[in-house]
Amino acid sequence: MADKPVLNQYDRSLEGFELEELVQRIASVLDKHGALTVADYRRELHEARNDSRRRLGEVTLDLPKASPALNSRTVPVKSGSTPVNSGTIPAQDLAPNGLNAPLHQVADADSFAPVGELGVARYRHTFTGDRHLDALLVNKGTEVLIVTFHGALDRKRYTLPNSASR
Amino acid sequence: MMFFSDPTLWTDPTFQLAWYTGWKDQEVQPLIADWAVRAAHAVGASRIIFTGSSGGGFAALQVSALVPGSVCLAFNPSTSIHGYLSDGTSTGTQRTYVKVLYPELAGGNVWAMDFTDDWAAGLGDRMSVRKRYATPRENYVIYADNPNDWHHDIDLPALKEVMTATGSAERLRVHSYEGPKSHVPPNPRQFKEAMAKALAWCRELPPVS
Repeated sequence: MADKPVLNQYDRSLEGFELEELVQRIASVLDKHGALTVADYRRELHEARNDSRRRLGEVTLDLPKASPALNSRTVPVKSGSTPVNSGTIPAQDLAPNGLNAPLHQVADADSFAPVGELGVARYRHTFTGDRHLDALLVNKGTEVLIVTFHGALDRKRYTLPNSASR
Repeated sequence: MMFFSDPTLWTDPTFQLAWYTGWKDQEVQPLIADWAVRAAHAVGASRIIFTGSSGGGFAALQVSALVPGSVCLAFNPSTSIHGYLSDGTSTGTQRTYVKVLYPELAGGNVWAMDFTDDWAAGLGDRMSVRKRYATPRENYVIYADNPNDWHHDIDLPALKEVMTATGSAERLRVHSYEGPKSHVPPNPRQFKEAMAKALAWCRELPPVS
């Protein structure tokens, strides 16, 4: 006999932006079948999460482009940042977890010198004790740099950036 | 865009929230500010917006304060680690933070610690937006406020008070939006609307030097 399906912690934790999509999907299942099983819930939760993340990725901002002089400017990687791979990858090629962008090890945290070319690159400085400052820089040649910080992380759902570059 | 992961979380595999403070002998907020400015120069950006929600909003406020001319867009941020209550009620997050990073403050028993005392008082202004902004700052802040979030009653008044006291009230704007009766990140539409205001403001300002 199959185990009775149960919800795990991952199923019970929702981000606020996932909720609206999930509620709509549950309403749709109830309309169709008049009942909601655990399997239904899990399936719809999975889809709601995918949809929510797709929508998050679709947030586009009207950022002014940098002036041509600044746009053409490139800053070479200095000794402080040693690329494991080289340069950047195009933004459209970035995987959802961002880990396929070239990783640049920053040996001297006070001499951070990111590449200036368009595209995406990762940067990491390692402190003693195997602790890391990780950054992902997406350069689309805009006049404004938006720097973002995350809030609390459910460590069962989210992992810190690993050192793999691909 | 530039995304930072909180290096403080590497100190413990169960750590969920550490406000980008760094640890005892390593402050990271000034380092992140430096990296952001260097990145802006490298990519040819003349303006910087720091943004985040909740603990990320705390970090955005703290780092932006170190970058004159920058704009901070903080969604329902906490403004002090001491006094922070998970779900508006529990000292559990403070307890974990102390246990991992400053166990000596607990005298060996974090469960017996009295969290009403300001245990972070001796740890500098990296632990408190209210303390950092008690010195006049040259950045600009948009507090994105869901009035149904409990931070509305605690952190927004605290930030208003401290920025008014330093004569910086004109550097603070409040963007109010209707969200759930909970502490959750903005949805994409709410984020985009608030970011449009931040972008409009930063276009009125001189470039970051």
